[in-house]
Amino acid sequence: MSSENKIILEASGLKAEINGAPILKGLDLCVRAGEIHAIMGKNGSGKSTFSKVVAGHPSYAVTGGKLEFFGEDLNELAPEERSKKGIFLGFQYPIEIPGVTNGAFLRLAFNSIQAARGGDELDPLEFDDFIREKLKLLKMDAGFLDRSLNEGFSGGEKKRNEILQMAILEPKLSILDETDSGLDIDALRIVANGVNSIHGDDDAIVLVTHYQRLLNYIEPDFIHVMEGGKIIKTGTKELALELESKGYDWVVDEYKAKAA
Amino acid sequence: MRDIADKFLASVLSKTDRHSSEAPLLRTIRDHAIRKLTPGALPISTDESWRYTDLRSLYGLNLSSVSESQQIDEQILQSFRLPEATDFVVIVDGIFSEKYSSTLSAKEFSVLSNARAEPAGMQVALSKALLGTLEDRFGDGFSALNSSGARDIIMVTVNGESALERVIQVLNVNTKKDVFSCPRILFDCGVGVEATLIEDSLNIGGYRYFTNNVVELFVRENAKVDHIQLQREDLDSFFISNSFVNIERSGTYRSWAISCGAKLSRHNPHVYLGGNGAHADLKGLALCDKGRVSDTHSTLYHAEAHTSSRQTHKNIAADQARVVFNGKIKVFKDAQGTDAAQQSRSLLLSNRASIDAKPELEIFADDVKCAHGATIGQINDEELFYLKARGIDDRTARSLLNYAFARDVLDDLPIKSILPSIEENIRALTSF
Ligand SMILES: Nc1ncnc2c1ncn2[C@@H]1O[C@H](COP(=O)(O)OP(=O)(O)OP(=O)(O)O)[C@@H](O)[C@H]1O
Ligand SMILES: [Mg+2]
Repeated sequence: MSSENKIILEASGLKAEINGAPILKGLDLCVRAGEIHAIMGKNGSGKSTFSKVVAGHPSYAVTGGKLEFFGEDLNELAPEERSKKGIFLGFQYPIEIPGVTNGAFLRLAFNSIQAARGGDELDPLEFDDFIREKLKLLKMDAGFLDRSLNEGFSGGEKKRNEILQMAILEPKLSILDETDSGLDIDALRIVANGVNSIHGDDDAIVLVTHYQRLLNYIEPDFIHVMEGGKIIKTGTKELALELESKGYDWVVDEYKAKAA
Repeated sequence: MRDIADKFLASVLSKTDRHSSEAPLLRTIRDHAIRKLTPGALPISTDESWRYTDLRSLYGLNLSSVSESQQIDEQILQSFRLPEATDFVVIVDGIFSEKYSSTLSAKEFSVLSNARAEPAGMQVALSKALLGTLEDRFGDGFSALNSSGARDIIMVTVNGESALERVIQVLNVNTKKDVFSCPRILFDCGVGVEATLIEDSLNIGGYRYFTNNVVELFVRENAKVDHIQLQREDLDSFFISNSFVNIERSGTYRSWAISCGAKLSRHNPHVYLGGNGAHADLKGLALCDKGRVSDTHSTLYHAEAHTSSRQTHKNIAADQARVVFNGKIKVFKDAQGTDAAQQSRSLLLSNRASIDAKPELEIFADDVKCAHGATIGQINDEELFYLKARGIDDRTARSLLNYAFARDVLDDLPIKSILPSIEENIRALTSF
């Protein structure tokens, strides 16, 4: 990717904590328009924390460094503001909300984002036509619209519902936190095709994943290894294959040796 | 506090509008109630069931009653008429307003009044035999006060002769300051008949007011009654309501009691399952904010074998509101095979609000299923974040979650046209 492309997200020396426990300890990442990044790393290394910090989860306090979206400091922005500006987080564990109808929720979210962008809001009938097209993209049944948001959805159905939201909201930056976990082989292909068809030159995608397999379907430009709240190595897609066969320890050793 | 309660009682009794020409039955009922209303008849905070609800602000009022019916804007009144209603009964300041009502046939509808001759006829004779029986048996000081002071008693007998399924809306409007009114309804749903009764209480003009409501409802064998009570009084008013329901063999009673307004409101539903196979399904929703108080004390009496009840009560308390729910279930010795389930769930939107919710079980039979549960929670931060992460603003997200919380009370509400008004009240709760 050209280094002249617009910077969408820039984190440098980013530090964040939860309940006084430091989790992110100086994270650097630069994501440009048109790029796909993958973040890999051991359980507990801080991948979801980083994702939620970018989305503005109120439990995390940013204690140092810089976090900018299209050059604008994100720190003061509420999660809904970030979303309106084009940040999308695909949750590792999508929340179940009994009593909130999925279809009504999707329309509300769509219209909120449309209003922020100065686009046309859709009434229930118009939205119904619109959402049916998007459902096809993810091979989802229209019955999901009438159910409570994520309630009783299987693991894979929840993940598809996340990508459905991504498809209707058309974000500038999508952070997909383990969207591939829990998907069967067919679903993985469907979801990956969905993501690829949404992705273009003006937006960027950050995939958080444990499996190289996803990267066969969605080809990343960069692969980052996260450890102890930092990105300790960045490489190209071949790095994923190497990690798959050798694990993470050698990356950590290499990093420690460099630091010493 | 005893003093001011007794003073209040004496004052209200002295101001009750009585007429030399009052119908003889009305006179009998009033005199009987007055005999019960001796000093000490009205509750105070030392009474167990009034522990959480302080009546001093009510007892401190100097109230009067209205003797003549007020003129009100017909258009405003009609705007409250629900499209589902087949019959529309208007009570203004406690006085039945024939002019604004469009009511059932004389066979099914009659009014016992200060100002008219006693109605006659077969149906009326039946109604008259029932009148006051439940109030006298299950009531308290306030319901007795209603019996002593009700100016007009609305008597409805649905006999199933009409092909149309009756949906009767009683609109109870208050228009004057510092007045007390005693709306009173007798509703008799005949054998095998299905009918709906809607009681809708509200103010026009926004005055301080005391409504002391009583309804006696009879569900005959195999009859099915849907009963909706929507209380949307203004914030200065006081609202006390006693509902007495008797369900005969295989009868079904479903109720939705929605409490949105009033400075202080108290609702006491007494539901008596008095016949084999009788079933009651009670749903309640209390929405309360500012410094308001909303109190529900329900009692289900499982008096006969194989009776069943389901009760779902939801409370939402914001600001400094105080919400009380006490759900009593009484299972009599002979009520074998009783199947009761009660659930109360409360949502606290502010740490200055308070909620006291508890079941109270008195079980004297052995073969009984009686499930109960009470939970109190707050808005789930992860749910809120999830919605906001999709661009939904804080207020909308909170009202969505409040609505989701209240939803299972509202989902099967048979009168959909009142939903927007309830939704509006739910939305108002989030604007702190
Ligand atoms: N409230 C908390 N207090 C203290 N530590 C916390 C808290 N919440 C999360 N953590 C810790 O933060 C670390 C990073 O968690 P995070 O969820 O970001 O990891 P992850 O890289 O996404 O892991 P996984 O691959 O398992 O999803 C973990 O060690 C976790 O235990
Ligand atoms: Mg994670």
